[in-house]
This record gives sequence, structure tokens and C-alpha cells, in this order.
Amino acid sequence: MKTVLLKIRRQKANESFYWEQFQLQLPERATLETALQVIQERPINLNGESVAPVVWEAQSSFEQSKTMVIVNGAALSIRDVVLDELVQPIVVEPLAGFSVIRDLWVDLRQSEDETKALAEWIVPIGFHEHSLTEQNYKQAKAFAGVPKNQQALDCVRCGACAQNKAASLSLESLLQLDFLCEQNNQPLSAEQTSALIRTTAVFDYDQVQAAEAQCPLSLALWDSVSNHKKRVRRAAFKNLF
Amino acid sequence: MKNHSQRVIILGASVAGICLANEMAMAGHQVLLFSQRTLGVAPQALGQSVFRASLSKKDQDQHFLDSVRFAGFLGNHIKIRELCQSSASYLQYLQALGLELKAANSSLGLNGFYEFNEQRAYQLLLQQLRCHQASHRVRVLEHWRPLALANTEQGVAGVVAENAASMEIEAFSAEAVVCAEGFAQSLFFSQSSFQNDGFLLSCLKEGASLQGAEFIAFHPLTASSQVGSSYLSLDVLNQKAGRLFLQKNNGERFYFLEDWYSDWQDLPDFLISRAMAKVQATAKTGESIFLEQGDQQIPVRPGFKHFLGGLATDDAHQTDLSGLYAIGFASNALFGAGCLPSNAFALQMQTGLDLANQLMQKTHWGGDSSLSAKQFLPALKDDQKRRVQDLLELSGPENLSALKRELSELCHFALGPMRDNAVLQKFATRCEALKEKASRLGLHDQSEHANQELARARDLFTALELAPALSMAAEKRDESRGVHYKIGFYEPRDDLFLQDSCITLKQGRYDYQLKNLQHAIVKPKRRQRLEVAG
Repeated sequence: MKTVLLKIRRQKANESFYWEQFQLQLPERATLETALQVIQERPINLNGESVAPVVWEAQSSFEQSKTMVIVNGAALSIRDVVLDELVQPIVVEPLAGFSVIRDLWVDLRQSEDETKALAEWIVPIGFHEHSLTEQNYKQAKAFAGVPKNQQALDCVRCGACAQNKAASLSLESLLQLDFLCEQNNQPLSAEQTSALIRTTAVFDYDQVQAAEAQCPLSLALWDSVSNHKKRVRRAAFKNLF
Repeated sequence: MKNHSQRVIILGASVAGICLANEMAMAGHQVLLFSQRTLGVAPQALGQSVFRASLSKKDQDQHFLDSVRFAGFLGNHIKIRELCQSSASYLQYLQALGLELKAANSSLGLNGFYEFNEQRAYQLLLQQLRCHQASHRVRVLEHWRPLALANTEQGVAGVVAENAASMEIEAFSAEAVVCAEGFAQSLFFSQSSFQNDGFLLSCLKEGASLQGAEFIAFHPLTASSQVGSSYLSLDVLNQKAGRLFLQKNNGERFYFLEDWYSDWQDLPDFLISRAMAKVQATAKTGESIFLEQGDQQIPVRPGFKHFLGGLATDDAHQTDLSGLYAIGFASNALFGAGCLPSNAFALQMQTGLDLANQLMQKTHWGGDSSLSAKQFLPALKDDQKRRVQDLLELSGPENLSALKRELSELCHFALGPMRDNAVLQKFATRCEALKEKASRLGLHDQSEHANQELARARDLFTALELAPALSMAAEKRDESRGVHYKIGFYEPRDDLFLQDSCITLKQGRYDYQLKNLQHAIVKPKRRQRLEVAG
């Protein structure tokens, strides 16, 4: 057994945050998830006070969890962090760039703006014949081209890439947008161009590279943003003449 | 064809729920889709990479026979055959959405199999959903838990649900309610599920019945973690984490996958599962399977994840309650076929799309949308609010996690693969004792915002109510079948194979009966029992 000191940033929505420390006896090579479960069972802080258990967005208990938090400054999955390897006290914070629901649980839901921007490129396709109109049946056929980059669909919206960004559209959505543009392979409409200008203008390449470094799946975000910027330039050039 | 727009509530936003939501939205209906978690973050049904789709007739027949042979228990042969025959259509649909398919490695004997990334397929279905969401045809309620079913004499009127973050409780009316999320998994784990927030119990109290509840989903690759709870590691399945071997008594390591399959790094999970089952069955006493991970050897043991049972449904996915439907893993009809031959994704798609088709052909979905039904909803909502207040006031000495662990251990012991009627008979008494302890429960968190402890407490009380139903079904099935091994009853019984257990809740007591299965296509044959190692 090992003694581990955790310093956790705690907060309720719309309230100011505070730090709380927990000293735990854990088996060797325990993960952060195990530590949080131990706190859940016996929520006693370093001062010996009984407090509310730490809250995080618990996903599936028996499959790969992608719940990300900031541990000693790096975005990591709670199930992958082995506490023995970290400098103590281990500082645990919620993901930055998202509103905190409570403690380590942040709101990763897609914003309405993101949904709308993505939906511009999506052709609705039904499985049953009677759920299709003739027009979208034709669109569906055109849509089923060979996609260039299916990796865009690997993103699991863990939120790691979106640290310290201040944009209405997240980087993972940009990745999907890139995929959808490739799928469509058609000239962009005015609405689509303006959506791209709106969404790509806020990302500079340094920011994208930093985000790429955080991605646990090593997805190529830089290429997608670069592609979008090219599309915007092309559309702007055509509009000029 | 639809006559007018109606509203459907779908509980669960995994593959089945999303497929249904997309189709209903395309047909112009209003959809309320509930997701307990953030949509798109690590979806639960995913993880298998090979779709046993068969595009030729010969392959379809083989696929069906394999499904029947490898699934230990099957609900409905006719439906399973339909599923196998429809596989090609699902593939074409996914391809139309933009999915890349790859023919699986034929050197492994996988003719007619197609490999694809299920995460990508899910994302494509999700993109379609986003599109409907943006055009307001689908309203997605993320972080909402359904607590109770509103049911009148005329049919289902809607649901009462709670927002997990703000803890606001709301009532939602609809012409149909579809249950599309798993079963009572939290009897084994500390994780809450839709069903265990009280919704399943509420359905049972209203007259729905539970079918096939005695069987558990078996997954051989549970990595027995040295640092706490066991969990299923998908990395292990995909062979990314290390090599599997059998530690022999003479000190040798038998790397069975490498020995049996030259291309072992690309093996589909179900082949690994079968290989493990074979090694396990032939291992001598004291020999066990490990995962080699650098210098470490992690014990890997056959494990189980949740109960197979679900709400009893007919061929049209309709439960015993008018207007209440169940699909995917919430229904019992196809589970046997879905679990073993790597068809989970197909099973979910099939049930989701099939129900959409059924609903689109009906003018009346069975729900009660009358004014009196809508007036009944606020009262139910107030009941749930009172229940929350009662839970928040719990201040006894008993610890929630300790009680949950005690129940989980009891379930593992009594309701695991190895069963004994003497133990099962005592199970109900132990549950009563646990219930009594739970009445002295104390919560550390009295907050009315994102209170997960309260949800876990609710989960515990529901599990304590459901556990006796499961033990009753397990006790009545006196045979050894598939992974299940019962002391004193070592042979599979063909008469019971043709019968499915059905449990109803009447006046606070569970009632058990057997139902005939649809097994007309393939006659069950006597199965040879594998010797259990050790």
C-alpha cells in the first residue's frame, strides 16, 4: 500500500472553486479512478472532515472510459493515470474550456452552434424507403462517395484538444466538418462558406498544434483546419470575381 | 404510412436508439431522445470490430446456423434469421452514410465477414441525428435519467425524468415510449443505468414482464485488475495491451493465440473469446490465463458483465403494456444471437430500424395521449420529487458504497456462472437483510445539484428490489447450459431450452412462469458439456 496525497479542485456550477486535499492509502499502481472511488466510499478530507464525495462524469464501468481531467497540468483519462508515477501532491482539475457542472464533471455537450454548423453539410438518409423523399434519395446516392479521411470519425469527444480555446466550435467538430466537406465534394454554398469563416477564423496554427499534442488518439487536427482555411480562401476568391 | 405527426420518447442514445430516432425524424414525427451521458462520448455498445454480415445467400444461411450454434440460448429463431438476412442491407446503409468496409481475413476462415470500425459507424449515425437535431425534428436530452413510467388503463402516457446536473424533475408525454438501454447491470457494478434509476421497476409495477432474467452476458476477457475493481479491457481484446498466455503447472507459457492463429494480432474479439473458452475448458487444475504486459503478468479470467434478460416483447417489439416498446439490449428477444457471434451492432441496428418500420405502419401507437393522461403526469412528478427529498434526508450510519459492494458480491457469488439452489434459496433472505441495512443508510451529500450519491442510492434500492426476481428465475432453471453451471443439474435440458422464463410483479410479489419460444427453424440438439477446469 502507498500513501497518496490528492489536491482536487472542487466547484459547483456558478459558484467559486476551492481546493480540497485527500490523503489516501492505495495499492501500488492504483489509477486515479480507483482513488476517486475510494473518496466516494469514504469522503474524509485531509483535515479529517466529512465532505461531499467528488463528482466526475462516470461513464461505462466495464469498458474503456474516456473521462478526461487535468492531472498535474496534463489532460489525461482517469483510468489511464497511474498515481505512483506522479509528483505529489497530485493536482487534479476539471478540463479547462468547458463549463463545470460539478467538481471534475464538465459539460461536454455539443453547443447548438456546433450542431447547426455541422448539420449544414449532412445529407439526411433514411433506411426505410418510405422515410425518403426522391430528392434526398438522389442526394444520398451522390453523398456515398469514397471518404478521404475516416479518421475524423474516430474522435470520441473527450475534450482534451479543446483546452484553453475560446471558440464557439470545438476542434473535434472541425475535424468532422473536414470529413463532411470531403464527403460532399461539391461547391460550398454561401451559408457553408460563412459558417467556415466563422469557425476557422478563431484558430491559429500554434493553438491547433498544441491541441493536436493533447489528443490521446493522435488525430491530425492541423490538416483539417488547414483544409478549411484553404476552402475559405478559394470561396472568397471565387466570390471576388 | 403516417397520418399525422406523433411524439415518441426513446430512452437510450446508443445504436438502437439513434437508428430509431433518425428514422422517426425522417418520417416527420417528433422525437425526444434521452441520453444518460454526454452524447457521443465513449458510447457503450461499441468495441467489436467485425460485422458478421453476409452478402451471399450461402453465407447468410451459414451465418444463421453459426448464430444458433454459438449462442447458448436463443429467443426467437425467426427474428434471428431475419437479422442475418438483413445484415447486407445494414451494411449498404452504413456505406451510404460514408463508412469504409473491409472484407475480413479469409485465412482465418472468415468468409462473408466484413470488418469496420464501430466507433466510426456510430459517429455517422450520430451525424444524422445532429442533422435532425438542428432541424428540430429530434430533441436530445443529455444527462437525463428516466425515473418512472406513466401508465394509464388506456396505455402509456409518458415518463418522468430527472436532469442529472440540475436535478430538475420533469414529466414528458408521448404516444409511445421506447426503452433502448440495457438491463440491470448495476447489480454487479456500481454504475447506474437507465433501468436501475427505477424505470425498469416502474415498468414491472405497471404490468410489464421480465424475460430470460436468469442468464448473464458472458465475456471471457475481463482483466482482473490488481488495483481495485475488475473491468473489461477493450485493449486486451484488440491485442494492443499485450500477449495472452496460459501459465502451465510446469512453468511453461502457452501463447495459444499465436499457436492457433498465425495472424493473431488482427483477430476479431469473438475468435479470441472462443480460444479463451477452449483453453479454459482444457486447462488443468492450477493453470490459468494471464496477459503479458511488459514485465507484468495480469490475471485474465472469464467474466460477466450484466444480465441478459430484458423486457418481454412480441415480434413487433411491443411489451405487455400498450404503447411501451423495447429494443436492443433492453429487450430479450434476440440477445443470444447478439452476444456471441459478434453481432451486437447489427442487433441494435436491426431492432431500432425494425421498430421504426413497425411504428410507421401504424396509425395508433398504443399510448394514451388523452387530456386525463396528461393531467396524471404532474402527480407522478410530485411523487418523484418527494422521493428525492426522502433520499436526501437519509442520515443513518450505513455506508452506501459498502452496501453496494455487499450486494454486488452477493450477486457475483449466487448469480454468477456457477449456481447452487441451496445458495439461491438463501439469497432472498440475504437481500431482505441488506434492505433492512439500507433503511439505515446515510448520505454524505445533501446537495440538490449534480448529486451522484443520491443517484447511486436510488440505484441501490432498485437493485435490492430486482435482485430477488433474478434469483427466482435462476433457481427455477435446473440445468447447466452455456456458461451456466448448476450444482446437481449437470446436463442441458432440451425441454427447458424451449422455454423462456417470464417474471411479473403482482401486488408486491414476483410471479414466475414459462413461455414457449419460437424455435421452429433449427431443432435444439443435445450439447456436450465442457469439463470445468479446476
